Amino acid sequence: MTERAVLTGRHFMMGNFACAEGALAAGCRFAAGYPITPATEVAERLAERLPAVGGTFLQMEDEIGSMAAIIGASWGGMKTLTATSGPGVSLMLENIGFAVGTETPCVIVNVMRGGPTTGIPTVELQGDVIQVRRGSHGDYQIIALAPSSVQECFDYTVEAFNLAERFRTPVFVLTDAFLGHMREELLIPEPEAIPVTDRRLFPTGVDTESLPGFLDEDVAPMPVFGLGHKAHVTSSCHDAYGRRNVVDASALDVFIKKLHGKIEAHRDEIVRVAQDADGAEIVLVSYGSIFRCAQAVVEAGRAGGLKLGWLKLGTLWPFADKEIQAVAKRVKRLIVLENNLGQLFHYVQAAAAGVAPVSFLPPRVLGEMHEIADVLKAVREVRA
Amino acid sequence: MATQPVIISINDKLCKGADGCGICLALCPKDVFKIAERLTARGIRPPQVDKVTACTNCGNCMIYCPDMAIVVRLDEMPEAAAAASQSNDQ
Amino acid sequence: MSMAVYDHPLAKYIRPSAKSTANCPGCGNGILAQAILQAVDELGLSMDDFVFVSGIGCSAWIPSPSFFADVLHTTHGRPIAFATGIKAALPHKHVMVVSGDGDLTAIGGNHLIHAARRNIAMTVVCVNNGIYGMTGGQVAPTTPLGLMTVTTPFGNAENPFDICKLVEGAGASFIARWTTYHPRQIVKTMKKAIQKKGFAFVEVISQCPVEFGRKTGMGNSVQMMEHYKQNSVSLAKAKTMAPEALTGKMVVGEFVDITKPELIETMAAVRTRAMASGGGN
Repeated sequence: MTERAVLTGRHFMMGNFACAEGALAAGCRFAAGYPITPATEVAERLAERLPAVGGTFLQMEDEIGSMAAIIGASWGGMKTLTATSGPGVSLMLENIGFAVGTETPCVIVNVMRGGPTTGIPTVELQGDVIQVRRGSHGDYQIIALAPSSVQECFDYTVEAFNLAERFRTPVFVLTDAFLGHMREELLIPEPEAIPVTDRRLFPTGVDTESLPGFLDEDVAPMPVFGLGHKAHVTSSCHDAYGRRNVVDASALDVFIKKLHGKIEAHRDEIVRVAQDADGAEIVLVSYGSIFRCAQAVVEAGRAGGLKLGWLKLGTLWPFADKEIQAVAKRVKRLIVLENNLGQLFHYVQAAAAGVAPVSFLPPRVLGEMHEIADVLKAVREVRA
Repeated sequence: MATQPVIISINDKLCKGADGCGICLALCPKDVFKIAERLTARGIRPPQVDKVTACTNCGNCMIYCPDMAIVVRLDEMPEAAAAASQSNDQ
Repeated sequence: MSMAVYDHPLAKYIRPSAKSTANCPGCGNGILAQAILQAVDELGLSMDDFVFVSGIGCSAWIPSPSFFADVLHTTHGRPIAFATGIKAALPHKHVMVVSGDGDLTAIGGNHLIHAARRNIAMTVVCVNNGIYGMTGGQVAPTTPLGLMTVTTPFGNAENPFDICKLVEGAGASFIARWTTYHPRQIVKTMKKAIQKKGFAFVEVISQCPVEFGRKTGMGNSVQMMEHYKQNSVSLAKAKTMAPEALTGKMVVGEFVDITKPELIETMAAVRTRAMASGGGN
C-alpha cells in the first residue's frame, strides 16, 4: 500500500524533516541533492519518503548536477526540490540563474551554516541573505522565504512551491543549522486544507512557434516537455517564443526587464510581513531563527515597561521596503537583528531613510543567538 | 551505362558556398558539380550541376551537405525536365 | 538559370524559424545533424518521442534551435545532469544529449563519468573537434599533443583523452566512435544507440575548419575529412596493429554493446519496493 504523501496529524519533528514533508504536501515528486551539513536530513527524509509515494530521489555527483537535475525534471512536468547549505548554493548559482532565465519553477532549501567558506557546518548563521539575492551574475529577481519555526518550515515550503509554480521561478527557503535540527510541534492539516498551486500549462496541440511561452510579466503558460509543444528552452537571451538572439542589445534589454518585471509587478502578492508594533517606539526587525530572540526580547522589554515592537520578515526577497517604510513612519527607531555582520540591514536602512533611524545589532558572538539582556541593553542605550 | 535520370536541386538560401565548404564537389565520385560563376544573395559561389547525366544517385552530396542544401530526386518526367532546362537556359 | 528547389526529405524535422544554421561553411556539425535526423526517420520515430539537451559550444547548436522538438539548451558542461532530471520525469521519452568535447569532457567531465556509471538510458553524442571552437580556438582535452592553439601558442603540453576509453571505464553499456566522413555508419550506430536501454555514448570526430583547421594549419573542411578517411582504422584492424602504428589514427566502430542494470529501471524497482513496504515512516 502506498504511503501517504501528506502526514496529516500532530508531530514532534525536526525542521529539516518538516521542510521535506512540506515539499511532499505541495506535490513535490522529484528531488536531487548532495550531502552537506546541516541540510542532509532534508535529502535523507526525501530519499525515504519520495519512492514510497511514487516519486524519485537522486543523489547526484555534486550540487551543480543536483540543481541541473531538478531543473530538467521541472521541465519534465514535475515539482522539484533540492536542499543544501551556503557552499552548495555557491556552486548552484550558475544554474539558479539558468532557472530564473528559463522561468523554471523549483525550490531550493538553504539550511544556512557558519561561513564564509567551509566555516563551521554545524553552527547557525544568517550568512547567505545577499548570496541568494545577488549571487548569480547579472540583474534578476528572486523569491526567498525565511521560516522561524518548525511549523513554518513546513508551511513556508508549501508556500515556496506555490510561489514557484505561480511565477515560474526558483524560490529559496532559508533556514539555518539551528532551525534545521531543532524539534518542535508540527501540525499537518488534511490534504484538502493545504492550498496547492500548479503551473499554468501551454494549451494542448500548440507548439512554441505559434504561442509565446516566455517573457510575460503576467507569467506565460509553460510549454512543459513531452506534450508535443516542441519547446526551445535556452538561457541565452531569447524572445517570447524562446528563440535565441545573441546579437541585439535591444533583445537583451527586453529579456532582462521582462524577467525582472514578472516578480516586481507582483511584489504585493509575494511579500509576507508580520508585525506586533502597536504603540511601539522601537521596533526590532528580524527574520528566521533570530525572530525567536526578537519576540522574546519584546516580551521581556514590555514587561519592564519598554515600548517595544517587532517586525518579522517572512519573505526576505522581494524586499519589504514599503512595509518597512510604513512602520518607520510610526516609530522612533528600528533595530535590525541579524546573525551576520549586517546583510538585510542596509536594505532596511535604505527603506527607512529620512523617516526613522535604523541601527544594527549582531549577537555578541556571531554564530550564537542574541542574548535577551544584550538586546535590552542596546535598546536602553539608543533610547537615552 | 543506364542510370535513372535525377534532378539535383541546390538551395541558394542554405548553401554556404563551394569555396568555403565544397564538400559536395569533393565527395561526388562522378564530378557532377562545378563551381558556379554567380554569387548568391549570401555572397557565396554555390555549386552548380555540370553533368547531371553522370549522376548515379549515390546520395553522397545529399548526405554530406552540412546545410541540407542539396536534394537529389529521381526525375519522374525527364522529357519535361529537358524541355524546361532548355527554355530556362538564358 | 532558375530551377525549382525541392524540400529536403528531413526538412520536416527542422524548426520553421531556424532553417539555416550559424555554422561556418564546411562545419562537420551539419553532417552529424542530418545523420541524427536520418536515424530518427529510419526508426519511424517522431520528434515528439525525443527530448534533446545540449550544452554550450558550436555542436550544442545542432539541436538548438534547429530540431523541431523539445530542446533544452543548458549551461556549459551540464547537459547530461539536466538530461538526467528530464529522463527521470519522462522515462518513456528518448533523451539525447548532443554537445562538444570541451563541454562534455572538460567542464562536464564529472557528469559524463557519473551518468555512464549509472548507465542511465540516454544517448550522448560527443562532437569531438579537438578544440574550443566557439570561443576562438583554445586547447581542449582532446587537442593532440604539441598542437599550437591560441592558448598553447608554443605547443600543447598535454596528452589528450581517449574519450571512449574513459566512458568505458566509467561503465557505459554502449560506446561507439565515427567521424563525419562516415555519415552512413553514424546513422546505423545512432539507431542502435537510440534504442539502447542504457547509457549510449557516440563520439563523432568532426571538422572545425576555421578554429581547428585554419588556425592550426590542419587544412580546410575537405582536407580534414580526407584526413579522417585516410587515418580512421576499424577496431578489428586496430587490434592487429602495434601501438606505435596507431599514433595519430582514429579507431572507429562500435566498441561496447553490453547489458547491465540501467538507472531508470532500477529506480522504478526501488519505487515498487518502497510503495509495497509502506515506506519508512
